[in-house]
Order: sequence, then structure tokens, then C-alpha cells
Amino acid sequence: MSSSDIFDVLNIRPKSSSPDTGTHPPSSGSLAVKQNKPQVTGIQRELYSLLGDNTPSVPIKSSNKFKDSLNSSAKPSPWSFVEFEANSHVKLRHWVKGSKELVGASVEPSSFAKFNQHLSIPSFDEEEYEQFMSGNNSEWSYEEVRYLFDLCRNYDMKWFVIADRFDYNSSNRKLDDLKDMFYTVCQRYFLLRDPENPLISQLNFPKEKELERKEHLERLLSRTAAEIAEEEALIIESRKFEMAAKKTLQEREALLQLLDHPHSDKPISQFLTSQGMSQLYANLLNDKNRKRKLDSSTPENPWMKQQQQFAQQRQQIQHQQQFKQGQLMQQQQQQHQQQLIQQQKLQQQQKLQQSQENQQNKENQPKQQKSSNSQSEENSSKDQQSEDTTEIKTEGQRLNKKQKIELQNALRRKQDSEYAEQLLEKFTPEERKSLGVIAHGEKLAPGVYLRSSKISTYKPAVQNKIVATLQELGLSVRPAMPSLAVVNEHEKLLRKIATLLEIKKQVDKFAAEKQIVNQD
Amino acid sequence: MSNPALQVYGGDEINAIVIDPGSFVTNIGYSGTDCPQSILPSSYGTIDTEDGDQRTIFNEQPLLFPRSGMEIKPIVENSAVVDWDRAQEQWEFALKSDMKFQPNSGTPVLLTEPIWNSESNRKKSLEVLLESMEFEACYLAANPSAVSFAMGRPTCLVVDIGHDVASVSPVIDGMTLSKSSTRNFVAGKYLNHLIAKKLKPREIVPIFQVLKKKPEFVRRTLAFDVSESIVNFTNERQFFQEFKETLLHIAPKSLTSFKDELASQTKRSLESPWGEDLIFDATERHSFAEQLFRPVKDDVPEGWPISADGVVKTWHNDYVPLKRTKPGTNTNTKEKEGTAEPSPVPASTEQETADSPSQEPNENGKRSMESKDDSNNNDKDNNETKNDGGNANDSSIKPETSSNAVQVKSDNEVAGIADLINKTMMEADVDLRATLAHNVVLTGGTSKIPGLSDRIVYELNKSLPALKFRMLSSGHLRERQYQGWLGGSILASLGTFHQLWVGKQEYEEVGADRLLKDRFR
Repeated sequence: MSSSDIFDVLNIRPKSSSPDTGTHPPSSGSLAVKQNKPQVTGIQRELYSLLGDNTPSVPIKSSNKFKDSLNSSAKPSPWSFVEFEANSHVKLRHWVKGSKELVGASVEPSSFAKFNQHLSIPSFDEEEYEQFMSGNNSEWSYEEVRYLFDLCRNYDMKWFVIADRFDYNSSNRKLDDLKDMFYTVCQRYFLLRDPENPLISQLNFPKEKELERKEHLERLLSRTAAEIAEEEALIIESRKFEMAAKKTLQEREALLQLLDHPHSDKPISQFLTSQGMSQLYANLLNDKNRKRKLDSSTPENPWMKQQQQFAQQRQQIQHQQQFKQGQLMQQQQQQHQQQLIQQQKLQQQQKLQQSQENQQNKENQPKQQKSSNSQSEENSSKDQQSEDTTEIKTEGQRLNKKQKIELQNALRRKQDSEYAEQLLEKFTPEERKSLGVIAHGEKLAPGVYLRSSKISTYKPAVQNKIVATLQELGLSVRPAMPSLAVVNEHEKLLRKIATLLEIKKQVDKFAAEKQIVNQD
Repeated sequence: MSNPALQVYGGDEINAIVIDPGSFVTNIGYSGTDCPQSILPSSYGTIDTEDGDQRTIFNEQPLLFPRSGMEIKPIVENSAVVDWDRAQEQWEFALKSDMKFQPNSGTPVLLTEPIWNSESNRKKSLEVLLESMEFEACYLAANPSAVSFAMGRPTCLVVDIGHDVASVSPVIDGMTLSKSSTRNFVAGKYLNHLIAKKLKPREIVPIFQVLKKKPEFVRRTLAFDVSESIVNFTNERQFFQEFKETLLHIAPKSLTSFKDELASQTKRSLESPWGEDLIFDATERHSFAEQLFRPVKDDVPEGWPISADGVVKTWHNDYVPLKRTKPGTNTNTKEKEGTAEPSPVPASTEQETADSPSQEPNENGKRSMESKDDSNNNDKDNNETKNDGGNANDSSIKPETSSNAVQVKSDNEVAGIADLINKTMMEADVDLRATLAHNVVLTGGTSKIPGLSDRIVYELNKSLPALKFRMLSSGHLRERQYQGWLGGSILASLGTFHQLWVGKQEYEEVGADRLLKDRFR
């Protein structure tokens, strides 16, 4: 008894197949399995069934070692060695598909005979030759010309071979002599035969030019190694020169573009329209970008450098002046806040302070446009810039890398704006206002957008309260006419509402705490 | 044949026989196969039989076995058949005994021939093939043309360094140009001579004369006189062959300038048939084949055919060119110097090619044959380098002028293989030079010596720096010994070749003279 027998008694189909059925797919039924089992009897069967479910560790695939013997049922196609006409004189035999009766009946010409094509070269007898060659005092005799034409026919105008084979009375004729003679004779022959033929003019052989060409070629090929090396060196040199010339041209172009800029002493009427202005600005910015892309070795715009120097110097002077003012302002703000909330904790106070400062920075730009007096306005913007720089200096140590980069970017932007500001110096505030020219410090989002869509929003909770407050005051959530001034004012209003709401929240909180303490 | 990729393009098998008699071996086989079925030495042996008759043997093995009254004679010399009766016998023997092929009627035969084959030889070959051997049709193909077919390059420069002759011939569209072909007799046989000279006073004993190698050499004495021709034949096929195959090498540049690098190389030895270990250092080994490039006049034996300027007399131009006399003398060179010095660059080059070819050997770097050959070369090299430096300042002086000055011209000079190529290149049309230089086919048994290809390129780059040389050679070394045959085999199995077969009937009608002029290109 073995496992398979038990399975058999219980009428259970074994799950894993025995080695001989292993190759069959599991889908095949038990019938198929039974059929494929080798028929074993007696003790062998017992031994065999002892194997049971044991599958060999290595799959054994019985395969025929030898290739199947060629067992072609198709009838071999007959080939026969039949005679054919190789050329007009010779009959040879070759192998052709088909039975001898079918193919060998007639002697076929070679299938390659059609490739045996020759050029048609004019032939003439001596009389004709004398006729059309009269007046030509050539040293060629008729026989020699005839010999040449025979060669041309024989070698299909392969001139190198013809020149090689040409051997008439040990004459020393060169390839070009032969060509010249051949074409001269041909031309005259056709002039006599067919003077209207438009192709006659093409039968010219410019021997002198050909000789000259060969001479040049010869000279080219007989250069010495030194000459070739020199030539190569010269080519490299010339490449270098070309590159340098290209570079200087580029530089010169850049310089010319710089000189092309509007001069300070010229009228600015063309820039008074907003279109002209934007074009000018775009040009300048483009130019600046291009300059940056060039390698650092090229000198930068000297004018801009000077401007930067001036700006730095001014900053230093103003910084000293404004330091005290800034301190004063901070004190004032603190006092104001202390009045509003006396019990505020110190930390919270500082937080608030910082946020307000940030907001002030944002206000920085709008303020510029708003203020009527350009001088004072400029000063104030300078103040805040200097303030920012001092902040960076003090906070620099605890800023992480990312922040540092951001700060640097901001600084650069500020410098840029300063540069723009310098360019806009000529415009009075009124002009600026009427033209809508703004010098902005921050980086603008790319693309065109509506100003009203950029009105700042707050956290949803705060935003809802702000909206409610606005409704209470009878104001619309978005200004009806979102001009620059209106939007700026609107922003200011929103900020104030937000601050007040925050303060109210704090006050309520403290009041509640106080009540609890009192109750206790 | 069902796979079209495996089919021969434009092939049409007609079971032609291809016979390629060479100076060393004669290859005979069926067209369309890739190697000859029968390779026999181009010699025959005669034995006196007991009945007083003479028996002829052609197979290599019996030829190497000496017998009483046996004599070995050549059938082919300098690639051209010299003994037509024996040649016919040999070919028939190969067909009947080796290939079991007969009868010949109905079968075309292609015979390769050197371009310097004589008119009478060509006539005879037609007669033998069509009349005596009764082939249905025949064709005579020039050897370089066949090689160009074997390499698949219709336009190429075939450099064939065989046993007797080294030749250079341009092939254009499968046709060999004869006027600019050159040859010399510095090839495998000359190397044998050099080796024998080097081994003097030793006698080169063939293996059948050796009884015992160790502990000491004992010579076998045979009961009969062994003809010298058998000794030579055996040595040529056994000892010299092995020597050349195992020891020869060619330096990548002139041996004199390469000596220092060779000094550090190990020596090599070869066990001779008489048991002696022949030891050669690298310089000696390189010095043999060096003579392929710079043959030393003193080493050339008496009566050896010398080709001073490599001029080949061919069937196409069967006249002695008037201007191609012996290369120029000292006065000639001086003249040349005188004219070249003041004239600007182009003028001198023009002169070089437009003038009579007699001056060319001087121009093209032929070396004098003095024993001070080496120092001469050194001088030349120095001069060239000097000139390289000075050329930038004074471009009007051509280096040719200076190299002319160095070359001491004399009547007895032998052109090396590089000189032959140089001369051929300069004789070929200007329009052809670049193409030829780019397709230099190297073939022949002696071209198997390692380093030959590199050296040729080096020499040519030196003499013709403006051309870009590319060497082509079969990587299958044995094939180089029967490349002419292989090309013939390809040619004869082409369908388009059918038009060129010359039949018996045509031969009878037209006659050999006319046929040779018109039909064989």
C-alpha cells in the first residue's frame, strides 16, 4: 500500500502529480493522467508507487539527443545540367531548375546576356575621316585614330585603361592627348552628320584646363610632410582667429547696444507713453540678462557698477541717520500697543511686533507711490531698506541656509529696484502716477493678472470674521474699482481689521481668565 | 539555395576549372569553391624506371623523397610557365588523379597569368588549353585582376610578394594597368638565399640525409647520388619555409633606427634538421626581410635577375620604352639639382612627373646600393628632419632637392618593394593616385611576414606624405597563397562572365593573335 493507493481507494485525486505526469497541465483530467502513466506491473509497480508524491529535485526532461532524420515528404525538385549559349561562340552547361525534358529541349541564351551592353561609338572609313577632318593639321594618321576608336569601343571609354593599352608605333601619347583627339574627331564627325544636334557643343574637351587641373592636383599630392603639417597648423591658427573674431564681434555688438540706450541729455518724449516706457524697461532688463550670460571676463556695465557704488555709500550714510529714527519708531509702536493691551506677555508681544514689522515691509512699496513728496518718500524707503539690512545682520546667525538664500535674493531684488528707481529719477511723482509707473521691490509673479485677484487673504477663520466686519461696516468684500490706490487702501483696511480682531480675541481671552480667577 | 541571402549575387555555376600557376605552387580547382582542390608544387620530378622509361611525378610528398636517378625541374619560373609539356601533364594529373575530373570537353577553364607573360607563352597557353587539353572554352585573367576580385575591390593597387617575384600593379575596374606596373625579384626565393648566406659555412642538410641528430649529427649516406635539385627542393619546402615562418620579422621603421629597441628583445632559436639549434637575436631576425625594402647589392648573387627600376615588360606594351634607360647617373642628379634649386615648388614637382620617367627613380627615393646603405639612410633621415624644421622659413626649397643631394647615384641599385609602390603611384594618373593609395591590397606568400604591412605604410607615408594609404589584406593568411586562384574562382562563377569565355570554335576561326589582342583584357 502506498499513498497513491489510499488516494485511489478514497477516490481522491492526488494534488501533486507524480514525475511522469509532471509535464502535463493540471487542467487535464484524471483520465489523461491515467493514460499517460507507464504501464508497470509486479514488484516494479510497487516500487514505482513508493515514489508517491516525491518529485525529483531536478526536473528531468527526456529529449531526443539527435536531430530528427530528414523526412521530407515533398518530392525533390529536379535540377538539370543543361547546355546554354554563354555567348555567340560558346555553348556551356549550367544548372537549371526543372527536369531535363522540360528545360533541356532548346539551347537558351544566357540570362546575363542582356547586361552585355556597349557604348555606341561612331565608326567611319578613311574617306569620311578625310572629309570631316580636312583642315585639321593633326599629327594623327587615320590608322592611329582608328586604333584609338577601337580601343574606346573595346574598353567602353575607360580612359585609364585605354591610355594604358594604347601602344601605336611606340608613340608616347598621354591620356589627355587621347581624350583630346577622341573628342575632336567625334565633334567633327557629328558636325558633318548631324549639325543640328544640340549636344555637339558638349563634345568639347578642354585639354589645357584639364592639364592645369592635373597640375594643381599633382602639386597638392606632392606636398611634403612638413608642408602638410604646416598647413594643418595654419588651419588650426585660422580657426582660432575665426573664433576670436566672432567673440570680438559679439562683444562689440553688446557694446553698441549699450551705446544705443537713451541718452540722459535727449528728450524723453518717446518714453512718455506707457508703451514706450515698458519697451524701454524691457530692453534694459533684457540687456542686463544677456550681460549676465556672457562669461565673467567681459567687463560689466560700468555705469551700473558706479550706481551700485553710489547706492552703497548713500546707504551707509543714511543708515547712520536712520538708526535712531528706527529705534524711535519702534518705541512708539511699543507704547501704542502697551496702551491697547497692558497685560500682554512678553513673548506674544515680540511675536506681534515681528509680524507688524513684516507687514510694514510689505507696505513699503505702496507707500512709495502714494506719497506726494518724492524726496521724503525716497528717504523713507531708504530707511526701511536700511532697517532690513540691520535686521539681517543681527538675525543672520540663527537663520538657516534656505532663509539666507531668500534674504540674499531679497537683497538683490532691492538692489534691482534701486537701479530701476535710479532710472525713473527723471519722472516726477505726478508723472509716475499718471503713467502708472511703479518700481517694485519684490519679485512679481510671472504672467498677467488682475490686481483685484491679488488682494491678500487670511486664514479661513480670520477671513470669515473680516468679511463679517466688512459687511457690518457696509463695505463690499472686493473694492468696486480696484485701482492701485484703492486696492492699497483696501489692503490697509483689511490689515487693520485683522489686527483689531486679534486684539479683541486676546482681550476676550484675558477677560475670561480673569473671571475664572475671580470666581475662585 | 532557397535562402536568397546565401546565393551568390549574379552567380551562375558552370563548373569551370580554375588553374593558377605560381612560382611556388600551382593551384587547381573548381570555380565557385573557396579553396583550390589541388595544390601542387610548380615543379616536377623525373625518375628512371627499370624498363628505361621515365616517370614523372608531381605530388609534393613523393617529390620530397629522393630516389635514384631522380631529378626535379621547375615548371613555372617568375610566375610564367617555362615548361609547357610538363605543365600540361601536371594539370591533367591534377584533374584526373587529384580531382577525378574528366573529360574536359564541355568545361570552360580559367587560367591566371602574370602581366609580364610573353606573347608566345600566351599563345601556347591557348593552344594547350583548347587544343591539347580539349577544354570547351578558356579565358586568361591577369593575376592582379583576379586578386582584386578576390578582395572585392575593382579599383586597387595589388602588391603581390610571391616566391620569385614581387610585383605592384594598379587595377582599374578589374583591369590591370600594365604601363605603371612594376616588379622586382626580391621575394621569397631571395630570402632563402639570404638565409643560406647567413648560415654559411654550414651546409643545409635536408631531413632525408640525416641519420641521427643526437647525441651528435650523423649523416645518412644514400646508396645513390642525390641530385642537387632534390636537395634544393626539399630545403626550399621544408627548412627555409619553416625558417621564414618562424623567425622572420619586419621592423616598423628602418632597421638602423630601430636597432636600439630590438636590442632588448629575446633571442629565438630554431632547431635545424641536423639537430643544431640556430639562435638569432632580434636584429638578425629583422635583417633578412629588411632587404625586401632595402636590398643590399652585395648580397645579390651572381646572375640574379635585377630590376633596377622595376619596369615590367608586359604583353600590352611589348616594347622597350626609349626613355626608360638605366637610371640616371651623377650628372643627371646634378642637373636635377641645378634646376630644382632656384625654381619654386610647383615647377620642380611638375618636372618630376611631366618629364621622362628615366629621372623618376632618382626622385622617388631609390637608394644607392653601396654597402654604406645604412649610413646613407641615416643621412637621409637627418636631412629630412632638418628640412622639416627649415621649411617653415624657406618654403621654396623642396626636401626632394635635399634628398637628391644625399643620394649618391650609381648604376647598380635594386628597388625595394616600397620603391616599387612609390614608382607605380607616381606613374599612375594623378586622378587615380588617391584611390589607389586608399586600396592597397597585399597578397602573396611572402607578405605573411609579420610587420610587413605596417612597414610599407611607414615607408609610403614618408615618401608620399600627401596620400592616405590604407592596406587591405586577407586576414586568412593561408589564403594569400592562393588569392589569385580565389579571384579566378569568383570570376568564373559569375553569370556576367559568360560573355568573356573564348570558345574552341572562335579560336579556330579567329586565330590566337587576334584573340589575344581583342578578347583578353
